[in-house]
Amino acid sequence: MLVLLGLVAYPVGLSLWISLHKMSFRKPKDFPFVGLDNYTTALTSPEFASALSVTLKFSLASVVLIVAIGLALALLLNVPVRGRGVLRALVLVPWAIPPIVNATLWQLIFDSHVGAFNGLLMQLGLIDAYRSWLIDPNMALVIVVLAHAWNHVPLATIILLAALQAIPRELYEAALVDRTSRFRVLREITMPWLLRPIMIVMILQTMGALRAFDLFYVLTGGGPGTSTTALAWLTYQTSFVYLDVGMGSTYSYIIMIITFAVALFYIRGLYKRGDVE
Amino acid sequence: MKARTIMVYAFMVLAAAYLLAPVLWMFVLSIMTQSEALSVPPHWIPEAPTLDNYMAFFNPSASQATMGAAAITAMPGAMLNSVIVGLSVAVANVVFGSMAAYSFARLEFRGSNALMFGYLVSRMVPAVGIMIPLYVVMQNLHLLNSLGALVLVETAETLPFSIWLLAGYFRTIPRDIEEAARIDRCTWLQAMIKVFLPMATPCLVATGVFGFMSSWGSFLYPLLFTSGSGNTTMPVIISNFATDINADYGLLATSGMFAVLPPFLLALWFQRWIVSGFTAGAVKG
Amino acid sequence: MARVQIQSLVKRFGGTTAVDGIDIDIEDREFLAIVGPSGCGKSSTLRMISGLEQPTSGHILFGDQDVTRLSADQRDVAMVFQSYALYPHMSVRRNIAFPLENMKLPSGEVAARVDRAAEMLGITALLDRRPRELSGGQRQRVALGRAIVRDAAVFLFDEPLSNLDAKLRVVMRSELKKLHSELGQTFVYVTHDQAEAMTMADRIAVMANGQVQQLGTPEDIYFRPATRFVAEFMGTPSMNMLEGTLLNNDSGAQFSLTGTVHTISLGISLATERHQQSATLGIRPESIALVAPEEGMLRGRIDLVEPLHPDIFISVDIGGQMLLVRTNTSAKPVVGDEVGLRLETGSLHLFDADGKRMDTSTAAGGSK
Repeated sequence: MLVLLGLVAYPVGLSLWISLHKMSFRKPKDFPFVGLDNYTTALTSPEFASALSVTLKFSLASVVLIVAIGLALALLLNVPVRGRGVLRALVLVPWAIPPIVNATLWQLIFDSHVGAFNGLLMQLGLIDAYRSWLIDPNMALVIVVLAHAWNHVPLATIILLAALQAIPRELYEAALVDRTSRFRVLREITMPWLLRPIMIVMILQTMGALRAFDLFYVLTGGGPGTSTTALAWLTYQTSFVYLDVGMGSTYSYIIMIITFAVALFYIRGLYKRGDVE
Repeated sequence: MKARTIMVYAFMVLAAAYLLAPVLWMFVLSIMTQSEALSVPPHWIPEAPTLDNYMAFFNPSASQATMGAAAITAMPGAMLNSVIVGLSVAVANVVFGSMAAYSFARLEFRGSNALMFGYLVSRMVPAVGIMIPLYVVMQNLHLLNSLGALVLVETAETLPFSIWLLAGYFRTIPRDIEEAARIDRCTWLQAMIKVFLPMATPCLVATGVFGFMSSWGSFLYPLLFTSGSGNTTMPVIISNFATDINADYGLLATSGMFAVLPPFLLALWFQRWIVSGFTAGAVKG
Repeated sequence: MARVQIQSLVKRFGGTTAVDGIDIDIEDREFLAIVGPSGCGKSSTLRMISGLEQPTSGHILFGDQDVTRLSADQRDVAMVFQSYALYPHMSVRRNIAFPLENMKLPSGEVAARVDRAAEMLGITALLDRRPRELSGGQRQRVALGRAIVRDAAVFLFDEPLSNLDAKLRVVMRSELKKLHSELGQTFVYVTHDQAEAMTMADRIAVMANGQVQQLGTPEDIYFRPATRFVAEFMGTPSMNMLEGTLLNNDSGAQFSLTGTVHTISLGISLATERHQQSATLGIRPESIALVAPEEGMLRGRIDLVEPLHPDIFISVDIGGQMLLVRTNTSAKPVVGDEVGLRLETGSLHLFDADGKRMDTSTAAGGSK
């Protein structure tokens, strides 16, 4: 346990240390202390501003989409009809797909030459020529969000479905006796009950979205231009392509701080409800 | 009532399509020849299904040796590496996770919150964030290019979630039952092995599957810590493949199928246990 | 086979004291019931006997052996839990066989013992089922089976009947008593239900606030409660308690009821030298007779009549204090009527301000 803790804690500290220095893998001996210079550089640079906005857009859109689809699926799977078992098994399909394959998958679909999406739109008569979706600055981020959401909906569905099934039957029966309408049951009983699990899903998914990397690597490589250069990607690029490790660490620290702030926000939300054990 | 049922089924079909279509397309591509995969408009149903793409991975010299040949030859080794890392991480998660979770579940020192918090903190540290120092650490430990480094890092990353999941489940197992086992002449260890762990099986399985899947899909760490085709894992090979503009679509799809299959089978096989394992942890949280 | 001695046993959890120095000497083959309200320390005591809980101080002896520091599996105890605590992943047969397997008995012997226990409890037909397929009563029997299959030194029961419905509880009560005489083993039985303790036990330990209030036979406990707490806790409906002043002068002890002009001659001599002190007079509802207003020792007005045939429960208001009378009179008492009450002087219990019994030599139950 201590080893594992060390494996997380030590790098975090080292990362902070490096972020206060100018360091490059090109000149490993050269390690001048620059204080907060890296941070001021980062916070004022246009790359950073753009990456930050990409990250926030991506995270917000992903979380909203995942919670919405996950909730819809969970509610659907909770309707007692024959054959829902099959669908429950199918829900696990996207979950089982590694992110890198997920990226490949969507690449194949949105491919500019042979992609299924192009083919489908063409056959439906919506477009008259194949397009390069991933090169369209407006579309690229949308596609990354869709791909990310598809991959992460199952976990949300499983958690929410589990919560749905834990709702005491008496609550519904009481509502039935009170002649409550279906919509009111959903609003007055189901949703309040789900608030906490939804919060948990949101926490998990926000964390997941902020750290997403694989999709960007394969699907867009941060492009076109910087339209999908999220913070995680910028960090990777700065450290391992431009080899500016000091700056990279600074970026990674900023990600950490943002994540931390978001997490605190959620946790406060959870605690304020007063139902944390 | 009838109309409602029909609507429910309609939605279910829609949902199934949403969940399945992307993978199905990959599957369809994987059993097409290169030329058919390139056809415009696409053939939704292959006219001449073939297993050539699959065979190519076992016998690289056979047909499409030119396109993505490096990836093809590296694939079997990388798959094996992925399996080794995945299984090790799974076992480590189950063993260390259940030990830690047991103490959290049984010793009531505000465990739930602390655990959740610990989980959040460790998840908060994005892989990208600590990859540089981790790289330096691994370099110093001379663990670069070794599977051990991957196992270590992946375990550290997945363990908090596993502990959280397991602790939630363990709390649902009444203390009485363990005590009954002690009364029935079991030592503490025997009580664990004969009574407690069998009762926790669903969650232990879910944890193991989770550990396996996480490390199976992990991409950034192997990308950084391993170089060369011999030591790396499957996701890196696939990404090489996928970012190669010359790649053969059929082969790319096939490599994807290979990567999907193990976690997919695991998920289906253990479906019931995974869901019930998640239930306790997630709901009580 | 085993006498169990509990010596100055103390258990503290953090700042709270669950068991506050108790001594109980349980004889071999005795059926001892520990009874008390929840939180009185009875379960902690049982758990310390079992070895599941370690005492803070004090000793526990099985026979001549000090087992205080032995863990549960090293002591020879069998226990039935309130929740039954059956192993859900094992069949009934394996549940019952489990302790024997752990004791490494030969398999033939295990099978024979399981069959015998199942037969005693009438669960032979259930042996191949899983616990979740059983009803509450059946689970209870399996839990019993898992205990009696052992030849344990001590059998412990932690409120085993509290999850059963009322009817089944009565049935199990007599079965347990029968089981005790068939097995001829030492039973320690914890319950909050005084009726269970009264009907089954050879002796009862009444606990409150971590201390043994009284240890004695059911008759002792019922007819000669040592404290006001015991008097009120044991018996339904519970004993009437009248507040008043005890006057002790040359002509004997007299009890003057607060809020009335009534004075009751107790006809007993007391050890106390004090002439006047506040005290409580206890009397069970069945030891009071309804008489004409002028004939009674006390006089009051009927407040409530509850016919629970064949008995009738009548609440009588005596100058603000309520007295419950249990009678089977054929006369129909009417609310508001003035009545007289005659108390059986032999059944009076006098408690001092601290709730301790003030010895009244006329009480039944003999001396000890």
